Amino acid sequence: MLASCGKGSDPGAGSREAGGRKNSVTMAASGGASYVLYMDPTLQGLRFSPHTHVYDPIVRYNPGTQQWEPMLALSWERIDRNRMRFYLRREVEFHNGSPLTAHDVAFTLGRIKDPELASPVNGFYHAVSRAEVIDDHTFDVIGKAYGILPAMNVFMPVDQETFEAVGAEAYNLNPIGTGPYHFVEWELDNFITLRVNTDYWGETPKIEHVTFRFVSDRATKMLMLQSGEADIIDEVSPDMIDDLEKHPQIDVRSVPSHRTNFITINTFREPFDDVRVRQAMAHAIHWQEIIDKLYGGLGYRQAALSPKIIEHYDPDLEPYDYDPEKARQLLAEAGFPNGFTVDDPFKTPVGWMPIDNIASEVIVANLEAVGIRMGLWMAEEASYNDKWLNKDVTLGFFSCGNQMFAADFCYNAHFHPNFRGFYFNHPQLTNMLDDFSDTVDPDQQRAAMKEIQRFVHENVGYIPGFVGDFIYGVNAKLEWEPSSDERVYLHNAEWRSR
Amino acid sequence: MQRYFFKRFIRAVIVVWLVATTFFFALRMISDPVELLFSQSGMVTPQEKQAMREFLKLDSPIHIQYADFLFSAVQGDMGHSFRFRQPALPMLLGRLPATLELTFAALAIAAVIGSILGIVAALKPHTLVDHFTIFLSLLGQSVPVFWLGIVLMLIFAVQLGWLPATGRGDLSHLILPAFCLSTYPTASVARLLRSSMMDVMSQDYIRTARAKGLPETVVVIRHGLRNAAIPAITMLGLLLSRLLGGAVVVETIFDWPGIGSLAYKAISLRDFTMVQAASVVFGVAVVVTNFVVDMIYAWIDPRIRYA
Repeated sequence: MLASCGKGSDPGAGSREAGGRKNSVTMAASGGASYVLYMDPTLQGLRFSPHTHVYDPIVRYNPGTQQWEPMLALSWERIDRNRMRFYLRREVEFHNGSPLTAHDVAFTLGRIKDPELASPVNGFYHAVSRAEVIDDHTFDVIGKAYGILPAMNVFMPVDQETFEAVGAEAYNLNPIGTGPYHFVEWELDNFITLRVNTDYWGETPKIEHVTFRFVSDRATKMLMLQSGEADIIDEVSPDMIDDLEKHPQIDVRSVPSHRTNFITINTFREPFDDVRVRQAMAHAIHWQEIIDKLYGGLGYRQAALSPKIIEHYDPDLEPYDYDPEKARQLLAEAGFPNGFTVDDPFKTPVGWMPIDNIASEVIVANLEAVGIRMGLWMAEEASYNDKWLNKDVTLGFFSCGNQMFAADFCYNAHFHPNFRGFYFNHPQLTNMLDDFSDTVDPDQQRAAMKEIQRFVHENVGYIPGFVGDFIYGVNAKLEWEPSSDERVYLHNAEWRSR
Repeated sequence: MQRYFFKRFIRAVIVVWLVATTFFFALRMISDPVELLFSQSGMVTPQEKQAMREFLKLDSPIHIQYADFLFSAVQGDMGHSFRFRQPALPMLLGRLPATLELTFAALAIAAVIGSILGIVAALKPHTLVDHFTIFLSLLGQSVPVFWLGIVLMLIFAVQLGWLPATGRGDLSHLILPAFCLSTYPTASVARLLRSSMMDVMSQDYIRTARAKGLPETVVVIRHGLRNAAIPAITMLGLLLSRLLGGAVVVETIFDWPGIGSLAYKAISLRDFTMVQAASVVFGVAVVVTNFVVDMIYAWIDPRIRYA
């Protein structure tokens, strides 16, 4: 059960000393569904920070410039509609000294796509079918016209030779990547420690030792930061900010996120099958008040399901304005001059997203104010997810995280009948989404995405909410900035005054 | 005695089987783990879900799954964790030392502090000391451990910086979680010992001991406590199983790497096999504890074994 670690290791105490004096950083990372379950990147990766320290992706999306930037691939080009060619850096080696080759890439992608493996991350590679080796440092990825680059943003190759020699289980427990940190020790669901890779192909990080601790309780994480046992904590809820900022050694740092909060509407249930009722609801909710009073102003209203930092976001799409009078008028037009009562309560998770349950209380009150009366049902993440995935939600709080930075990800995930489009879908929209993934030209992609965003917006396939920042508590002496992709990169971090 | 032992053993096995069976069916009724395994990725096709269902062996009829589960369980194989893809039982057993360390430390604190409070209160009945002890006991039994844990961390780790807030390591790491876990049993022991001690101290043989001119300490400890402690010792045994349950909360708050925190995470991850295995481990621990207490009791009091 332990990956090369002894009994009762104490990463907390070690880092408490190390945090200030030695060159190390401890991060207390959230619990819930975000535990690191596998260090094998063919089974997990994405937002999980330990992976991005041990492994490197092929490309990386820069949310600031909205451009794809080189990582393991120095360059790439489109060969035809369904094929892109990537040229790997020649100097990259795995931690064991083996050179990174195109064979490693093809092997890793082949493993993810292998139905026998039933990889939980396969869903992120639906636009990609396979990789073909051209030579040792060149490979082609075959897939849909749009979607190859976003997939390469989360794809991290393993060393084929070692993987095949030691087997999947051993590789998972003693992972070898090309990243800026070597794997040192892992106690499943408890902590992972890493050591700097001085032979890293990029700039060598200044922090020598990194520990990720997986802590379930938010209050515990906050106390760990205050007591110096952790240097960074994630998922700081807005109500914790004041307490943290009072502490002279702690900074609160935030960054615009890739996650959009919204309300799921079951558009196949009466009376929500009437677009006027849905429009009325969109006008009834005072999102700006939710952002300002509950989220500390660290967010913005959102019309589309893609946040501003995702490519092909339509900046001209205006959110529905808060107008209760207009909402009542629309309800009257839909045949409900006195409103109506919904038997099924509004459903919300508690603590999955920072303010999910308290925002839901405001939403229910806003809806009641225009005549839509319903109860409120709250549950922890997994129970809520059960209901949501079993189509047992009439109205519910939800969010879509777009860790791949793919323009169509959230739209496909929530409105395509092949995926989870079971609360709202439409044949015309399905065609638009399919056409988008076959579009090569960036201008045409932008135009197609604009149409998709407008179609869903006008039909109120969901009620757009807001994009809240990712908020972190950080030791004030640590030079480090959070990233919009929800990963914590300590590659460029350093302690200010030693 | 052998017959009594055998009967109790059979009963213990039936309880563990019932616990395992209840969890097996209850877990399958509440949710579909396959959907949750893909909860991060909305882009999953029905074929991919089916592949995962087959991989996790959830595609066969439930009675077949149950038969497989029982057959493997009796051989010590509780299956592979859905989430970690590791054998569940070794993962849990690897955490057992941490949980036992915490539980026995809490039990030791309960035995020592509970006894002192109980004796002091019994020797000074209806005085301010007695009332204060009763108040403390009431507090210990009613204060929620999740709240107490955070307050303790805030005072001793954040404000004073005397003790670490979380993790497992040297003795200093054990103090806060063990104290937090011990509040309920400490209060229980104190209350029980106070009443039994008051009862014992009014007995004739205590008066005789005092009349013989024995020092009060000897009277209280050798003649009083030895007799009054029997129900408290029994209670400590029973409290041990309660402590194992309480460890889930305490381990989670203090990030103590025991079975409890792993079980909590498994529940939130809907890791069926891990929750199932944890329920069996907890079930066995409770049953074994009760079984040992029963055996000791029967050994002490012959009336029980012939009843």
